[in-house]
Amino acid sequence: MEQPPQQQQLIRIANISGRYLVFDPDAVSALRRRANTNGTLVGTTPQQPTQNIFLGLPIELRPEEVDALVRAGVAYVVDDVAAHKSALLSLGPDERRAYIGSLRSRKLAAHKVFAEMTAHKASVAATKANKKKRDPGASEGGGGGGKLDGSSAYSRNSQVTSLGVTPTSSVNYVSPDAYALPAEHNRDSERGALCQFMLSNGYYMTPGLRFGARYSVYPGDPLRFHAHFMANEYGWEEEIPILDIVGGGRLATAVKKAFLIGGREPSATRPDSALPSVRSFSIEWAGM
Amino acid sequence: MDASHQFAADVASAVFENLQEQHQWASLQIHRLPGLSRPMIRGLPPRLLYLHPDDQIAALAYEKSTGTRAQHDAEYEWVLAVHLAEKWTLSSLAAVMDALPEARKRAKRIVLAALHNDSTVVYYIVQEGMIKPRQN
Repeated sequence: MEQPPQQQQLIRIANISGRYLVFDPDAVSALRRRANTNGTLVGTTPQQPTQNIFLGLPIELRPEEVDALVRAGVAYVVDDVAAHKSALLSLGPDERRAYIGSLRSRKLAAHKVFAEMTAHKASVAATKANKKKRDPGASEGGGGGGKLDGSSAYSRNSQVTSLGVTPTSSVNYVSPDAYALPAEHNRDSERGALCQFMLSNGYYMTPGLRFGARYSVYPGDPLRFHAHFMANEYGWEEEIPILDIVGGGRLATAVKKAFLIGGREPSATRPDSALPSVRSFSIEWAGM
Repeated sequence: MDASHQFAADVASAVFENLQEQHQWASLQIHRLPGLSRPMIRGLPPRLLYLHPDDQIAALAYEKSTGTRAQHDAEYEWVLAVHLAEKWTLSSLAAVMDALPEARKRAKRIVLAALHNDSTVVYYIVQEGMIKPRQN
């Protein structure tokens, strides 16, 4: 269900030691749905940090993406270290109790989900066992196996109750807009214009290093589309070696993409729009 | 004629020869466009050099429905000859695009010819704006 825009919440981006992170799963899905921004999953488990192919929350955003989101009025940035410090220091006994209560309720919710899952598995196993019983060829051993399954499900269940809950975000006890940073509109305005231009035109971007560029640009959600462009941003008067155009163009064509270069054109002013006037060029190998 | 003009003219003439002798382009001419210090080459390739992906799809649909291959006549192309060691900027590329006459359909495009000292020339199609890649 799409909400009318005025009811949509601003997305809270945490600035922690110079990196821009989003921890809240709802905010991450809102970013993806409403602002065509995926971010990069960077979270890993503290106990098995080597499992780095399957990273989870939080997502990290690039500085220019954050800049574009703030300019578009979709998100705001907070100094999350300061917000956490003050929230933890000002934690009175009542807040402490409330926080422990919220952890407990999360744990109960997780427990309930696990219990439902095991119950569902057990019922599926039971119907299978019943079918086997009705099958004249099946022996009594099938029934015994079913019972064993049930007991193992129980032991898994008891493991769940002993699991602690580590919340991935602290939305419940850090006030969301404490230590909000002012929108940095005076940032170097030439950089990030291409990113802002592509975001506002509905393109999705992922890191482009795998194809030797700054961005891989997708015409829609990267889960549904192949990338169309490998994009690099340049300043209007920044020198671009022809060899870079040749290399980028050749590589992009080899992976069925176009090499895109672009940047803000300072002389062109567009009074009708807050968007920067961006000029871009698509490059493909000519095949001759 | 100063040194940089002479250099640009030499690069253009090398690419001109390459187009004529190696790639069999026809009706080749070197143009001096108003507002542009670099010479531009214009010529007709032996077959169509670039087909927009939407036109590719239309051509495939036409072939499927009629059983005959869609005919596409070759189009005149603008060629910008540069040396591999040169450095260009967005503004200088934009100046070239602005000096070109409006394209008949689709975005403005040039063929960027990069010449190396060993006489290798590589050709790239550069189009104005975000133009999705061809299917191949």
